[in-house]
Amino acid sequence: MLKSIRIRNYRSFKDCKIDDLGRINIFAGMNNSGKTTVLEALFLLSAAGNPRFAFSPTVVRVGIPAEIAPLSNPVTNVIPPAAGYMWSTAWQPMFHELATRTPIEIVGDHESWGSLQLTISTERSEALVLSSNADTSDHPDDLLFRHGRRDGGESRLIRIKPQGDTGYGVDVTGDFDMHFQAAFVGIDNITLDVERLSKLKKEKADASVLEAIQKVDASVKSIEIGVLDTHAVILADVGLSDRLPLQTLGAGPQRIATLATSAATVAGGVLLIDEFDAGLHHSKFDDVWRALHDIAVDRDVQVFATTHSYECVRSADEVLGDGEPNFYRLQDGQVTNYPPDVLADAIAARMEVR
Amino acid sequence: MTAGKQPATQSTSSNRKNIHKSKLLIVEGKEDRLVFKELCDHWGLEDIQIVEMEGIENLRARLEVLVRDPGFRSLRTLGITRDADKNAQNAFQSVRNVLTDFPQFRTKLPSRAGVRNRGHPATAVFIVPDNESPGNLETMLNRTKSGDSISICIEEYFNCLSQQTGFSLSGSRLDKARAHARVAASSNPARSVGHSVRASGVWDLDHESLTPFRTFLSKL
Repeated sequence: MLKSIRIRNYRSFKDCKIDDLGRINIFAGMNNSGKTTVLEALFLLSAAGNPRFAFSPTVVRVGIPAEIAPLSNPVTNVIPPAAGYMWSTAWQPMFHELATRTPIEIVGDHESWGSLQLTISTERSEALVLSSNADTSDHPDDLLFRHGRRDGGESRLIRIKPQGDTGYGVDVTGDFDMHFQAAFVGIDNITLDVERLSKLKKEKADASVLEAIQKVDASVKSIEIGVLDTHAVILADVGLSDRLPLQTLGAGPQRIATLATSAATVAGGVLLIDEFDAGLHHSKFDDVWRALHDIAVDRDVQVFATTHSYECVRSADEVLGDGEPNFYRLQDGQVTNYPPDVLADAIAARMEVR
Repeated sequence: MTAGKQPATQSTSSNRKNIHKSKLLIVEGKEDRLVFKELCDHWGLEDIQIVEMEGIENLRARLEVLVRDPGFRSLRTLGITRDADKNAQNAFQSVRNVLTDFPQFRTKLPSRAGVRNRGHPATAVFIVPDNESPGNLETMLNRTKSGDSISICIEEYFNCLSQQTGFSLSGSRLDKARAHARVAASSNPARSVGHSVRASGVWDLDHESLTPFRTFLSKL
């Protein structure tokens, strides 16, 4: 598990350190306070120099461009030109106050791997750029992702180079494979849920997913993977003559399926949940937290969740065991940590914590 | 499996609190809050926010929450009141000991009760009833009607009780009993001493015995 994370010069954070991370970590704060940024930073840090994840900020902020999705063998691959917009819309805004000459640093203190560091920087491009839309005033720099240990040693460098109309090239050098798995749960993605459930079924590790769904909808007796109209779906047996697509049972079962399959597939890693409460009625929070907590403990997963919901925070405080959750409020680029006992006192005192 | 905790007090978005004024006064309980709120209103002190610690034993826990509040950074003064009970100096020292545990207050601790220091935020402690005497909230209120005709009746009432039933109270507990008797003696009895402060004539909110507390609040 990660014990702490430090984020420097990344989006709204000039320099932000989050200590005392636990099994379940909840982040709250106003809009644009940096909640999703923390999840992004953790996602990037988990990548261990896998170039596929260099694009994760784009995935999170502006939706994954279709051109990037099939990037199955990214080493020295070329990103198609349609993705060229990413410099100004996705990558440049990663830098605090758009200061692209000030490197981004994300450092995580991991129980197993020690102090992991990702540095993102820019460098004047040496590549020959041939573009039908040549404009030297808007010539993007190379983007460098260096992943390694904070105290030196081996590292992996991903260099993303502008190539004019050709798009971006990706070079990967060095080797560094100290990493942990991460799953980012934002908008529900049924296809991804099916992929994850397939993996779990193959490993015979899907029982926890059904148990979690049953906590939200007790009528679900079993879940299978099926194909309807060429679309892969999760089918639920609720005792009727036919199995039903899970999403037809409502947002709750679908949401818990997403959370449970995501958690179960990142054993030993981190589950990053943007807007935990999305699609869930507040009366279901207790059950969802319990289900998620049980999976997290069973699969050794560390959970990071953002929320705007007071009921969601209060539910976590009430149903999780002593010593959980760790709660953090983000404001003005800084983090205020509410240890579990302080959070409980704040809720008992009817103080606003979000 | 998870181990559940006791459910917290139910609350809705409409009654959750943040620090929203530049002066914050932490008081022991609901009765104190009701009385001090009325005194602030009566004296025209509108810039003081009052929160309860729900028992002096919760002071540390309540401060842990308050120092994390978004409004804490804008706070100019933090005032704390508690009852002297048997010894005002001991009561002051107990508050000071709690403040010592917080880096936000440690460097500028209040030197004595009733005096505001110059920290950021400044801190000030008032030991009820007057920073010196033993007593509590009711002691403070009883003094505003000391010697009036109802006081004489109340003393006779307790003397009678003592002779007839062996009733025996002293110190802070006797002051509480006196205050409740006075509330009961009003034409439209309030449901508590705290609520009685709003009723006209039950207590004298301009009495000179309240001057130390009025000065304390004015200088927060």
